[in-house]
Amino acid sequence: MGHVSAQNSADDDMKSPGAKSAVCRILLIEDDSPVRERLAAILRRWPGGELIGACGTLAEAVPFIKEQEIDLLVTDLNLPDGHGVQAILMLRNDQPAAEAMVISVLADDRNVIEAIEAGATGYLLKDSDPIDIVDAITELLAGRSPISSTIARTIVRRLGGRDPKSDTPPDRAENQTLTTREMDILWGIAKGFTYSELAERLQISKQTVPVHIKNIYRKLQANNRSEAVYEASRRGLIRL
Amino acid sequence: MNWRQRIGWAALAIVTLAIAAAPDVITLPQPDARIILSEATFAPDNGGSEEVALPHAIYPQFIQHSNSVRYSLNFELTAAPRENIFLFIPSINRRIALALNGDNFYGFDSSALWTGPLVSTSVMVRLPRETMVAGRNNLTVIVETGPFAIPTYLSRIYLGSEEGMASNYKLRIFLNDQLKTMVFAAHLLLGLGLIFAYFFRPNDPLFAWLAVFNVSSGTISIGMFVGYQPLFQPILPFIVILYPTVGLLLLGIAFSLVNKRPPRLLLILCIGIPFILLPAALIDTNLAKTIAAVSAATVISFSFFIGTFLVAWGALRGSADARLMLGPIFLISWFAARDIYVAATLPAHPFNLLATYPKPLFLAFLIAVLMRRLGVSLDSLDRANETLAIKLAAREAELAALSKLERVETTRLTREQERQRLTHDLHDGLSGHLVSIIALSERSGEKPTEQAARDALNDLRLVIYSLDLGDRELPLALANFRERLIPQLARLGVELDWSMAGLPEVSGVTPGNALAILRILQEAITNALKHGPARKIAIRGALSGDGRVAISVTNDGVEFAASGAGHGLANMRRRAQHLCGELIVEPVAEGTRMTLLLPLDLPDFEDETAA
Repeated sequence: MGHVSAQNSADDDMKSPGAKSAVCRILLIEDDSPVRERLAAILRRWPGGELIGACGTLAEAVPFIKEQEIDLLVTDLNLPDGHGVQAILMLRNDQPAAEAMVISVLADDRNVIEAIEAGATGYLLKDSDPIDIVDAITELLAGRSPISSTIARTIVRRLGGRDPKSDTPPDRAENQTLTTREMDILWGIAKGFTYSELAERLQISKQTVPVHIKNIYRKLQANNRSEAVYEASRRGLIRL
Repeated sequence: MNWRQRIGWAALAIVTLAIAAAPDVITLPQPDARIILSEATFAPDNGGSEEVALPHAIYPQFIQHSNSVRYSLNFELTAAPRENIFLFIPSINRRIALALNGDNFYGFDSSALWTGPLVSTSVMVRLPRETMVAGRNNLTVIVETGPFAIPTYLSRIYLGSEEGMASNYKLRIFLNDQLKTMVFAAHLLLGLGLIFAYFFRPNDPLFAWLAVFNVSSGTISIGMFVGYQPLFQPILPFIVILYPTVGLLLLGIAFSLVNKRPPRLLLILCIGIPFILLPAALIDTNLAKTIAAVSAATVISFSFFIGTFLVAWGALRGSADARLMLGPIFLISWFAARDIYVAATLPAHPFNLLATYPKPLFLAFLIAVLMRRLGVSLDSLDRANETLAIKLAAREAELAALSKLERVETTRLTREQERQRLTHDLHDGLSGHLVSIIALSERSGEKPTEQAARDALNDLRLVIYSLDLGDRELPLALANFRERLIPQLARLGVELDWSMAGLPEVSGVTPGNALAILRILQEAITNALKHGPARKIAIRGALSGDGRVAISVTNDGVEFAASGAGHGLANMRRRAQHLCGELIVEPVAEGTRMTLLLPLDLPDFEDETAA
């Protein structure tokens, strides 16, 4: 998590965290073929990335995750033979360095947060323009994650609704507890402030806001990983 | 005790003393008579005679084996009377018969003395004119002596006109007969009431004592009444031996009034004394009668004395019940003592036994005590009710608050579920199809179709997101809107300058009215893009000068009115009116500004999605 720096993203080299190659190896999972083809076309056209697979089902995706080196997984959530979260969990288990991103029509909080807790650090709207999609991927790879106010509100509610220290081991609590700054950012976004307004209020650079967001996502994932892994293994999705 | 209560108690004390003194202070007026007979020859029917002065009282015991005594009186008439002459005996306590010059004209049967030997009556009767002669006339008064130990009494006898004596007779009849009839009736009725009271509250010792007291004294009153009829005469001695019990029961009442437990001996005596006196009643000789009467008088005076003392002690200690009862119990004791004194000493002044009079007063005050207790318990009941009502109201308010909370929570959950279901359906179905359409039309280059599908998808998102809104979440709704607006405007190359930092807090936000606001904004932006054609749109939230919410959309395009965006504008105004708001479109230096003014507390309506 400490690899992120607030660089200018778009024209920056595609330096994926943990990735050795210059281009980002991307696996796409989307069951609706027109959409899959559209996204695949966008990703193929993008020079910064290399689409190593465009799958319509979870089953098709499993060999890629198991056998191929992946830098970024872009997955739909509702799949004919399962759920995108299962692919994310599998990826985090097999290739912890890889990033995961969900594509969703609505980017609604429940689906996205479920994905975040499984290990995703970004999300895309399915109907986004090619340029938005590429932007979102580059931002993510540069260590910056998007967040909507609805998602921020849901996270704030969840954090307020339980005491994270009580159900996690004390030695890991340090990693998992959000800092005051991170909480301020979440609250601000949940209240509808723009990144600029927030940055001005908190006396930080506008560009560091999404960096904090990504950290928040990581912490949320760390908070829930053991549960999620347990749940996944219980369902027979992954072998530990 | 406040001054009003002090005055009340003082008045009660004065009235009590006045009543106690009345018989000895107030003397009834003398009848206006022509002849007053105050000397007589007294002769018991078993022989012997003596000259006596009237009024005359004598113990039947001293005239052994005599059922009646005779008083022979003489009076002179100058001539045979031309008008009626009436005979008036103001006070007599036995049945009498009258004879004039040896001719009986008034017999025992017509005498209406019914309330017993403790009661005096008056007799007024017309002397038969034809029997009267000029000169000396002889009047014989035959007085029945039996069957009591109480002395017989004969007052002076007056002869005169009816007019002269009638008023005096009426007064005495009222005081002796009618008042005592009332007293008897009142005694029975109040006694009955107190007996009933016992059945409704059998565990209270005062009620129990009162009930037994009233049963006993009622039995005596009725016994005395019927016992005067020859048929029931044999029961009279047995009635007399109940008198001590009544005295002891009154003592029991006194104990209960001051909340003391009466000694067990009292109960034993109540039942025991009548049994001890039973032989006297069975023997029924004059000596036995005397023993019974003296015992009864002793026990009664002793009980009344102790009872009065007890109640006085209770009154001194502040018991309201004892204070209320002190007067009546004093009067009852006082008149009983007076009667015993009168009966024992046979004083020269008119012999009159008065113990019957205060009885209803005593019972009335007992009822007052019960009423006071009832009042006190009702008061405490009222207070308890009041306290309960307050507690209940508090509890109800608490419950109402909880129920409101729960309703809010239920609504939220319902909305949540509904949203989830709808989101799920829209996500899986409609929105997926729209995305497919976008993908397909983009591939085939069908721009209008793609745009229509995108618009549809955007509207769908607007609806879905607003479903999840809670009160005071207008900023969230606006933020969602902004998040969707950014890529939309970015595609068109329009710059968005957005700030809601100045937006005041808005309450009453529901999915319906939030959606309406967002639609107005969406329409404003659509108009700006379509007709403007704007390159820069600024959206600001602020508190207006007149304390309303002001959300303004400023674009650098041409004015709405000039661009002919009439229909869309009318739609927006209608929506604004629904929200109790107002829409202002005005040209500004930068271009056109549309301002939506809304109340700080939004009106609730649910069906804006349908509008």
